[in-house]
Amino acid sequence: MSLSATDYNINIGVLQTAHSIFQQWRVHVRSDELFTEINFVLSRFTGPFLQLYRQTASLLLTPSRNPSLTSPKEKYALLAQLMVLLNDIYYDFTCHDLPPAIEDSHEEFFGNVSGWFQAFLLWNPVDLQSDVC
Amino acid sequence: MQPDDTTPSLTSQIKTGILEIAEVFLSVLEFLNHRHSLHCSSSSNSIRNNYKNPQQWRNSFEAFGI
Repeated sequence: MSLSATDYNINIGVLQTAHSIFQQWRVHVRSDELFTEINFVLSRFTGPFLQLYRQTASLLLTPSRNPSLTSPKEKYALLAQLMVLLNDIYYDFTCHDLPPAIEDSHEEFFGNVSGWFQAFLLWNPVDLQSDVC
Repeated sequence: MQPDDTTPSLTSQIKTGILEIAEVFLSVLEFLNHRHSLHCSSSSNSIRNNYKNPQQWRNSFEAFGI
């Protein structure tokens, strides 16, 4: 099963499975074997992962741009649930080392003015003030 | 999964996740800098063997309170 551009139930299922595998890296000791496995995953998964992160972040931060994917609030909550998983996997990817694609997109994520992370720290959507998930 | 009284809100889970990422990112940077200061080879036990300039990234963590 692969990630979908429009079906967020599928994406949540794919990311839950992926995170259940990747989170095991967190407790592993650094070794060539571990990094061979991480590099293999990164080579296949990083591109679609970053693309999905950008798409989901954009929908959550500016829901009015695509109301068909962000309303009603149950759909918006589904996107937020996906973002929780995307952050979990971002952590999995960076818990031992800095992958090149993560390094290249550092400003996009950590930037003080326009970074995704900073935007989410300031974000407080009305539709999630009483979570529905 | 249905949230119960102890389940943090989705907004809170996202923000906590981002702060955890910032913390682990910083700890990896410190590890890389320490290894660099010891002049250790980085050709093994790592994802890669060269980095741009991790030191420059430190400024971006100030906004996260770390």
